[in-house]
Amino acid sequence: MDLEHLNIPPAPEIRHQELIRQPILHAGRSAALGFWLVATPAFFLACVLMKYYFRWNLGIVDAFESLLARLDQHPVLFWLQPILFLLAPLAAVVVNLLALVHVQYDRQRRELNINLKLKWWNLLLAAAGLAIIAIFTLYLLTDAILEGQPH
Amino acid sequence: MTLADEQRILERARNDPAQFGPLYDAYYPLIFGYVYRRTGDYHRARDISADTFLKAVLKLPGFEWRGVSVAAWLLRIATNELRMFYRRRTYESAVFGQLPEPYIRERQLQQIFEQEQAELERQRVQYQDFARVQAVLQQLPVKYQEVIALRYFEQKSVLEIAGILQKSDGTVKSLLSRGVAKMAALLVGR
Repeated sequence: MDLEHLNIPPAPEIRHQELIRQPILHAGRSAALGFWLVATPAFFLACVLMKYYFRWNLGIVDAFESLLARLDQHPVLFWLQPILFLLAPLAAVVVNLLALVHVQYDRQRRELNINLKLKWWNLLLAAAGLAIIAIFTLYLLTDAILEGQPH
Repeated sequence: MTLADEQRILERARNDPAQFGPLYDAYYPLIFGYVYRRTGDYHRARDISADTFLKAVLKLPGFEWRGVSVAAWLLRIATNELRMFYRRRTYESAVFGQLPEPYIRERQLQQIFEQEQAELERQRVQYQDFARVQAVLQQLPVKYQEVIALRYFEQKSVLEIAGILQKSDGTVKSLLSRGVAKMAALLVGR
């Protein structure tokens, strides 16, 4: 068979390319967003852990703590802490769970089918987000209890 | 599209991947055609082509212009994806895996997939010699499949193939020669 003169089929007409264009072109932003929603509070918590449990005092923790204390006094920037340690990780949990969980209602059988995809990176980010929310909530509760106690 | 146009688009896309759009529009059919002619499988071609562009978009920040068409870079990514598929014998698309299920199951998208697959199957019947060569190609080691497909299916020169596969001209010629000989032996045996 003469490969040089082989009749090659022409390039096919592809219509689906337009329908997957947006998800592909914005993939970088989605991946980065999911990571940074969790990475920033996680980094701060890791530094706190190193300072108070392992006694490795990194200057960045003191600087960040004094910044948060000053922001606490500001009427508008007071909201930065809950956004960083609660809302951002919560958004990361929601976004990653949406990628993992598929819910479908079968009318004929009257069944609600819930499928969970095992995508480890999404699971890890969702778990990290939940852990950050849990740690920060515990901190707030502890702080509130200690403030309520008589000195 | 000239090389200068491609370079301009890539410079803008480094900071804003959405600017990669014109290159996606221009080269998606080329990559899909290449992967389909290599594998003969519509779904595989769709998945690998989509992931080729996903990887290209994610690699944009570190991309360095070397005066060669973006098509060569995209063909290299697609070839690497095909290598992974042939090594594992399975392929999970990152693009279609990340899309929400309701979006993938949407009737319009499914109809388009079915129509495209049906058109390609009809085409296969019209190009029976090509289908026979494609089937035999699948039996060769991947290193021969790559050079033969790029040379005879995509009409690339030895120099272009060397650039895409990042091999020397001599290696490409040697692989072509040995690959074609093996393919001829298989075709005669059929």
